[in-house]
Amino acid sequence: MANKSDDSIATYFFQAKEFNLDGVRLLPGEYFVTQKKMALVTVLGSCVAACVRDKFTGVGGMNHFMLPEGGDGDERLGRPARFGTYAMELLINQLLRMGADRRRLEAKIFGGGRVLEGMAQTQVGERNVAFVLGYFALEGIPISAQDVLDDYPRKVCYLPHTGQAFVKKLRLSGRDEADSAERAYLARLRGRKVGGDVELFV
Amino acid sequence: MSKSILAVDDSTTIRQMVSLTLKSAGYEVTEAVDGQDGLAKAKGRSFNLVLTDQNMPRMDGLSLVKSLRGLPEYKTAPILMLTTESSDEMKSKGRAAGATGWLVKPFDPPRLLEVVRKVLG
Repeated sequence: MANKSDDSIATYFFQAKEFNLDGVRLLPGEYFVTQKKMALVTVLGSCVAACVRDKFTGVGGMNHFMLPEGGDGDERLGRPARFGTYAMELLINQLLRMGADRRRLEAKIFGGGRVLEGMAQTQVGERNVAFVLGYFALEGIPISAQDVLDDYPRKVCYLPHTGQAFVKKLRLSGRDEADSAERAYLARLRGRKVGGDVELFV
Repeated sequence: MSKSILAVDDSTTIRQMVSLTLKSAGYEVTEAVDGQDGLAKAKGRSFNLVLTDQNMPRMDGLSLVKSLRGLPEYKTAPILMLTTESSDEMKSKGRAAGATGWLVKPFDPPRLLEVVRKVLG
């Protein structure tokens, strides 16, 4: 069963004093979209964050996710690809609902560091980044900036109304809160079913 | 002769996944990029099944279902929604619009084929 925070809209609000803006902090598995002047903040290890906005209206958002392990048959239809596509679609659908035009979307991507060492997870970051790059290429959404891979965690702050993103490299530590949250998220994904409900009306 | 399916979704990734799944089971698949494109393609022929997303530019899935139900060739044809929308409210709207069923993403290929076979009889 998925944790209640997975596939959810982020709810941890705070004051981003450095920008003098309301802020929201995204945990692994969450996403957030806004039309307001806000700071969207997350800390990434091996996970990736896609920051997407409508260049004209400024409505924009961010997600924070990683692909589950494994594959079942055709790579394009495997669990990781279907889950990643779903995570991206939640973000993009929310953007469209809030008035974004798909043709004006631009993306910035971050994360995918080689951070979860010692868990046979050295390829986790690379897989996540490869997926996101492939997704945006297929969807025809241009990537205007990226800071991915390498071997350090990152704190990312995204301002959708301007499109600016600020990245701070963090010291690698296996004991901090962000690392624990990502490991817990990965563990939850292992047992997660990638398939939604079906209801026939006849 | 293989049955024909119209797959409507604004995401290229999803269209490819759905097409791959359906073609692997022998169905003939035509893709449309949104409701308006789907309606135009549906008018030109009589598909055995329409599978559509909800949130799309220009025309959403529910509007497409309503428009199709107004056409003689789609009065009784199965129309399935495949969407991230999972609320009871949206499902009720789908039912009222004339949808045959509601599949919540992420889709599971074997489950999708099972439902498609069921509604196609």
